[in-house]
Amino acid sequence: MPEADPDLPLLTAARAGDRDAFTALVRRHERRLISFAGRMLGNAAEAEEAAQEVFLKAYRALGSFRGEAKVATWLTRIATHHCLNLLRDRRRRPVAAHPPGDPVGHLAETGPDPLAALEERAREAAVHAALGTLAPDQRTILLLRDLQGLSYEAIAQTLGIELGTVRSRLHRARMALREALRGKL
Amino acid sequence: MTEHLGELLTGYLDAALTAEERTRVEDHLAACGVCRANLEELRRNAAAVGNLPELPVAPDFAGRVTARLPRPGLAQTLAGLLGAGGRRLPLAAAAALLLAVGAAYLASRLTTPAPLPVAQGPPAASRQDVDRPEPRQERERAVAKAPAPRELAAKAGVPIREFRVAAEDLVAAEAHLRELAAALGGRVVAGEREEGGVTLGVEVPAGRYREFVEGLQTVARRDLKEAGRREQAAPPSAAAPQTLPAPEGEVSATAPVRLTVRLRPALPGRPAP
Repeated sequence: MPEADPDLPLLTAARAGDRDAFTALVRRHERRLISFAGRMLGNAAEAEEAAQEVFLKAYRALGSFRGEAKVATWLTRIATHHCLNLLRDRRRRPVAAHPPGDPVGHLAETGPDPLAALEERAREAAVHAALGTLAPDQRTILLLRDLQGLSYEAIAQTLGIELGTVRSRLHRARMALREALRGKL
Repeated sequence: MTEHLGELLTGYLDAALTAEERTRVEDHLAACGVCRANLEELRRNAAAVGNLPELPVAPDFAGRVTARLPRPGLAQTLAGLLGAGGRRLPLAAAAALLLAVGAAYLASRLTTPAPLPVAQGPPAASRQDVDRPEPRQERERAVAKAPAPRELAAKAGVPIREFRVAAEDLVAAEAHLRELAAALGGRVVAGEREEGGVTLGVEVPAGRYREFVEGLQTVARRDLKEAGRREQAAPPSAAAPQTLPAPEGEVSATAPVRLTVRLRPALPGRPAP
């Protein structure tokens, strides 16, 4: 029972040569994919560059979109593989210990309770750092599920694995994150 | 008691169990504090990942992606815009092609001491001239000329061979510089990725040197405009006749001119790793 894919009209128009439609598609997914890439790669500066490449790859691959998955899932799959390739190719250093952004600047914007805001930032930093210590495939499946909210079916499509193996892989990744986060939240 | 729940906990957390499995898990949880604690920890961690803030998106991100989409004949279009023989280019149009490259400043260093005759422009405009309304194109043309290279060059009478361009997106900037060089019949002969940037060695035909420099300035102008700080960063002077140094007097008309362009990140507060 496939529900309607809200991105499908845009994708169809883009495939027919409508660049504005593709731009609209970018706008709809840019924040999600930049955030995903940032958590995959560990920093914001590379995230934007990677997301640009992801959209360019998607543009070149418009003709091969078959509609087996939603457009959003298709884009996530391209982003996932692009980030994994970057991580593999560059033998990246571990994810930076601090999340992107300026904690001081952040604090200045946080309403009446700076202490709570500081604690929240510390929590974010701990989670970000812990993610960085995981193996890339474990980080990937965690982010797909817990950050992007993909269903098990969509995760299986994205990673090209059997639906039946999603749960066990995800569980192993969650146990690894638990070890990395122990006592830090 | 049966053994602890393992991956069924993850399935339970994600509401991805069969009815039968769910009943089994709930029965076990009712009797097992260890698994209840484990479930609670997994739930807390998953929520912590889910609550990570989204990263900011540059306002023109989509525009910059669109500008990089392959389009037939870009090089030809660019070459057409830049024109031959020093014809003034329509800056706005060229800027639209050269999206994504920004310059917080465009400074120059003099690396070739050979003296050259340099065309003298009229004196720089006073502040009043700047404030006076002018035709849009004239104003943009003026801003496009970073004052530093012209003044330095006029003083020393030598060609500028080394440029620093601050770019928000180094990859796009590099791509556009390569396109610019190619469009002018030149090429990138050396590329070096260093800490915090990219340095490109570019050769352009001597006759197209001026257009290449104009292309760089076009890039610079656009970024200043976007950043809303063009006034501070590059106070415009009046539109003056072209006073960029011409290298033809020093090298033969056919030999390429070798330039160095250093691309550096433009974002403040994000130091190179």
